[in-house]
Amino acid sequence: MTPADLHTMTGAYAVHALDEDERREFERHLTVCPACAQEVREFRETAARLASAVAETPSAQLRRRVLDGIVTVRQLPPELPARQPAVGAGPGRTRRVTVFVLAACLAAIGVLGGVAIDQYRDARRAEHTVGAQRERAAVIEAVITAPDAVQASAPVTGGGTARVVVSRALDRTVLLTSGLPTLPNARVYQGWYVDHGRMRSIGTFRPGTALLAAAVDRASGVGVTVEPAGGSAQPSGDPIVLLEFAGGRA
Amino acid sequence: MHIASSGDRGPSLEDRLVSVAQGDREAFAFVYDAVIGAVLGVARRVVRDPAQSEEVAQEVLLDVWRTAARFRPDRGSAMTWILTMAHRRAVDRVRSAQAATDREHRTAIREHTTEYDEVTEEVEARLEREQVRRCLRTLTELQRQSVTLAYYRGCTHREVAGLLDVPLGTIKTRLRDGLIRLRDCLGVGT
Repeated sequence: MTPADLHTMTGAYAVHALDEDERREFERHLTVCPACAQEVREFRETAARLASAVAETPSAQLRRRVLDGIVTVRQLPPELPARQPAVGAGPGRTRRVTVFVLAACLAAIGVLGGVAIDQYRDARRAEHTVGAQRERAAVIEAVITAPDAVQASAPVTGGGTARVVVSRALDRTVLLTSGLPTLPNARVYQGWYVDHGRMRSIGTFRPGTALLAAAVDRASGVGVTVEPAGGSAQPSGDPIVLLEFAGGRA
Repeated sequence: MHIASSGDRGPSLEDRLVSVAQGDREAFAFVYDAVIGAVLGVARRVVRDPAQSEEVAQEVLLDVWRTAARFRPDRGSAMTWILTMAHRRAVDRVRSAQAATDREHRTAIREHTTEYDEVTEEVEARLEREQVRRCLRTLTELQRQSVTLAYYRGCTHREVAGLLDVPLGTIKTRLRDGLIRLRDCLGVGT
C-alpha cells in the first residue's frame, strides 16, 4: 500500500472501520506521519460529537452498578516515558514512582480484604461491607498519595516483609505486610506505634491485609508483635519488625 | 446532559480525570454523570440490544476508572478519549458476535440493507444537537452514508462498500471527506 493510500485511511481508522491487519499497518504509518495523527485526533473529536448527539438517559441502576463496581477494580499506573532505573531520576519522579508501586502493592495484597481483582467483578456485595471498604480504601489511597507521605520497609523475623507509609498531615499511618506466615488460631499479629520508648497499640491484623491507624502524634515508628487472640494492651514479646519513620517531610 | 463543554463551571472534565487517576471516587461520579449519556447513546446505536448496550457502557466506565492515569490531555479532550473507547468497545462487541456468522455474509448484507434506512432515520430523528444534524446534512449522500454506517453501525469500510455497492477505494475517500466536512462544519480543532 502506498503512503497516499495509507493517508486516506485516517477516516476509517478514526471510526474503527479498518480490519485488524489494516489497522496495524496504519498504526505503523501513524508513527511516521504527524499530519495523519493530527487528522485522526480531529476526526475522533468529530466522532465524539456524533456520539453526544445521540446521548440517552441511563438507568439509575447502571450508575449504582458502576460506582459500586469501581471498588473492586484496580487502577493502572500511568505509562512512564522511559523505563530507566530510578537512580537518574529526580526526587519528584522517584516519589511518584514510589506511590504507584505502593498502590500496586496495596492492590496486590488485597486492601479490600479480598483477593486483588484486575477486572470488573460483580459488585453486588453486602452494601454495608462495600461502604466500609470504600471509606477505608479511600483513606488508604489518600495516605499513600499524600504530598508529605514517607515510607519505610523491612524484612520480618520469621518471614515476609512489612512496609509503613505515614502522612503526618493526614495524621494517618498505613501498615502493609506481605508473606507473613499464618498464625495458629489463638495468636494474632498486632501493630504498635513506637512513641518515646513506649508501644501504643494500633490494632490487630490478618496477614495480607492493611492496617490503617490514626493518631500518629509523636510516634517515631511502627512495630509488629505476635499476641494472643484479641490483642494485648502491651506487647508480650519482642517485635518481629520495627520500622522507623524517616524524619521530616518527604 | 453535559455535552463536550468542560471548564465553564468548576474543574474541567480533564481535571476530574486527574483526580480519578488518584483514586478520587467523587471525581469519578462527576465524570460518570458527564459522559454516561453519550457513552450509552453510542453503545445503543452500534450494539442495538439494550441490555448489551448497558454492559458495554458499564465496561467503558470501569475502563475509565482503571486507565484514567493513561489519559493524555495533549492528544485530545477527556470526552473524546472516553467516547473513542466507548465506540471501540461497542464495535468490538458487534464484531466478535458477527465473526461467528460471517459465512452467512450475503444474508447479513441483506439484513443490513433493510435495517439501514431505519437507522439513518432514527439517528436523524434523535440527534439532540441541532448543529450535528445541520452539519450531517451538508455532506453528500455517499459521505453521510459512509460516516453513519461506519460510526453508528460499527461497520468496517469493507462492509460499507458492500452495503452501498461502491468500490472500497471510493468509500475510503468518502468516509474521510465526510469527516473533514463534518469537522469543519462543527468547528473541531479551530
